[in-house]
Amino acid sequence: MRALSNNSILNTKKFFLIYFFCIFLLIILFLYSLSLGPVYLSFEKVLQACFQSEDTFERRLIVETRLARTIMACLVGSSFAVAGVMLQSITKNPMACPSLLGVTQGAGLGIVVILALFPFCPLPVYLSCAVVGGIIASLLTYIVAVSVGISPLRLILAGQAINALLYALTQAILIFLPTRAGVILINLNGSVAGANWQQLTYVAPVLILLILIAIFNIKNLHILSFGKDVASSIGLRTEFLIAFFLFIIVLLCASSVSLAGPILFFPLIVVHFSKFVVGENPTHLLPFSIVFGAILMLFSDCLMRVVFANQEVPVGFFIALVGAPILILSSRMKRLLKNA
Amino acid sequence: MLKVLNKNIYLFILFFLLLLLCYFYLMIGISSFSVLEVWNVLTNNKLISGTQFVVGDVRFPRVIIGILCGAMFAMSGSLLQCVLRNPMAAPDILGVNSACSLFILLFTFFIPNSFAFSNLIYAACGGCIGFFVTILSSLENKRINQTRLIIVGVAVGALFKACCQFIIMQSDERQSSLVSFLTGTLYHSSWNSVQQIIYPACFLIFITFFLYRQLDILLLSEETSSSIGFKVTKWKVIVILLALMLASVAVSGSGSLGFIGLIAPNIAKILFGYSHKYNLFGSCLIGATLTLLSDLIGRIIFPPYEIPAGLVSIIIGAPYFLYLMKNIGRYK
Repeated sequence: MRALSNNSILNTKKFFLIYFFCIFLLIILFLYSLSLGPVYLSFEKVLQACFQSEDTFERRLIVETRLARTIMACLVGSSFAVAGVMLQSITKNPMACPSLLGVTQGAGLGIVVILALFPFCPLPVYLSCAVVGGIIASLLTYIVAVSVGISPLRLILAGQAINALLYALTQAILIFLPTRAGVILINLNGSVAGANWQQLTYVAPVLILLILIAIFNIKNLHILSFGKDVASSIGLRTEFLIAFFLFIIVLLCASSVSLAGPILFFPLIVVHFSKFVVGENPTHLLPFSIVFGAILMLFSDCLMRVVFANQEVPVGFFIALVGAPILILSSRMKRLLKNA
Repeated sequence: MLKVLNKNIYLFILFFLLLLLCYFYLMIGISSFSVLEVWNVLTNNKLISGTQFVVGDVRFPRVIIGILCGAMFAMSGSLLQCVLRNPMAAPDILGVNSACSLFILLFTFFIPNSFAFSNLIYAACGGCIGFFVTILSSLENKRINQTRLIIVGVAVGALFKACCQFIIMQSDERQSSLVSFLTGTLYHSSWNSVQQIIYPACFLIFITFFLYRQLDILLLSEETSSSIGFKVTKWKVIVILLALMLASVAVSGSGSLGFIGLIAPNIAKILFGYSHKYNLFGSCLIGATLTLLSDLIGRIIFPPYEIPAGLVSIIIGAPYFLYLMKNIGRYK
């Protein structure tokens, strides 16, 4: 932990260096993701297709199928990351993660319920149901956590029980949807394979707006991360701010879930890695994790596509494999023990 | 709390309830039968082929598997809670169940030609590995941090479950019945599967009942029990191994039934107190009853479809888990 706290006094120059390196990495991954697929395109062709207005085969292939998937992976990754950072700053709990507190699973349940009742509902309805599901689930976790007593470990335990409950309900409802179950099931494990422009045009503006709101609130987040007392002594309306941030977190998660399904552990991985690199100061952590979230999501998607070339393996599996050990490690962190 | 006589009566009532539930289970379903018809099948009297098939060959094995697996999960939970001194310990919470499922899936996927009791052996290996991963990662200064144990267990469970899902995605259609190992269902029960698990199950349950004295001593503090000449470490290892075997046999029979191993021992503690002489019987009966009840509910709630027993038991069990968390302070 001492190494981490030293890291947080990272000077600005070094931070920008890391930041630009990551953006560079992201761009390369972006192009690589565009070139991947049943028809492999070389980098040159991808670049040509992107910057020429001629209507070639490659251009169509990229714009109509691969670009949506790539953009979606970036967006979903970034917004999960933002949600994770905000949640950890608010709760001051290194294990907090929207996917462990029932928020994403709740959004997933909302979607499954609305699909069971109205199979062909328009997209905005679909999205709002995800939001409602997420809000209900997070309220449930909150109520339980308050009555159980909020210690970091117990909060996660309560979240896990609610997660299990919501998961069981989701699976039970899926039994009644035999025709669409296969598609939804893949999506429920977290996958960006179902990307299409129609969904993206609805959800992308919402996500970008929410991420921007988060960025503009970095200062408040930073102050909140020092604790309620400090924040209210400066004159912040802490209760209002926390509620507002929680609402943003739920919105971010629900919208991402409606695109890619509940990806377990993803925010946790991003936040922990980002903390390791740039320290715990939200002013550095938030921008870095936005970029890193996008990188991780794109990377895992590309990896799954390369390793399992002829079938669609959800990204969620890979993330769960990486994420579970990180959860175990984070439960062993010394700082946590002092609080617990 | 309760007098011995009362405890005996309680046990008897529970047993009676379980029998009643079994009979009820055989009677109702998509096609329901009268009390007399079921009785005739059970006594091999005046056989009607249709009734004989549905009651005798479809529902009856299911009842047996349900009772055995429920009882084994509950007992495994009792043993683990006793040894680890944690009222929230249970095979599914500690990641044992998913590890068992993973190993069964792995080996049936890569070694299709299996021998007679292969599943049991695979499951036992998996259970041990899962348990030791959990215990090792929750150790701190050679002691187990109780709350962390549960979180680590859940994480290990999630890890193995992801591997399971991954293997299932790799397998082709004909192995789609493997999916049932993930959620836990009695749907695939047949006389064959009863044959597979009935001997090891009865053997393990029988042995466990004889250990009630040792279990009671394990509840005492370590100094007290070693001062009366009790080899604590030896018995701890034996009891844990027994619990793991129970869980793995149960998983190979019905897949992972969530939360049964957690709720049943705790209800038994409320009804029968901490003495294992009654507690073990009680938790056994309650586990069996809960499993049958979950399967029955899943079967009759939306008739043409069937909700797996594992899902119903999670829906019943998760709220109880939360309630338990609230009161966990009292157990220490």
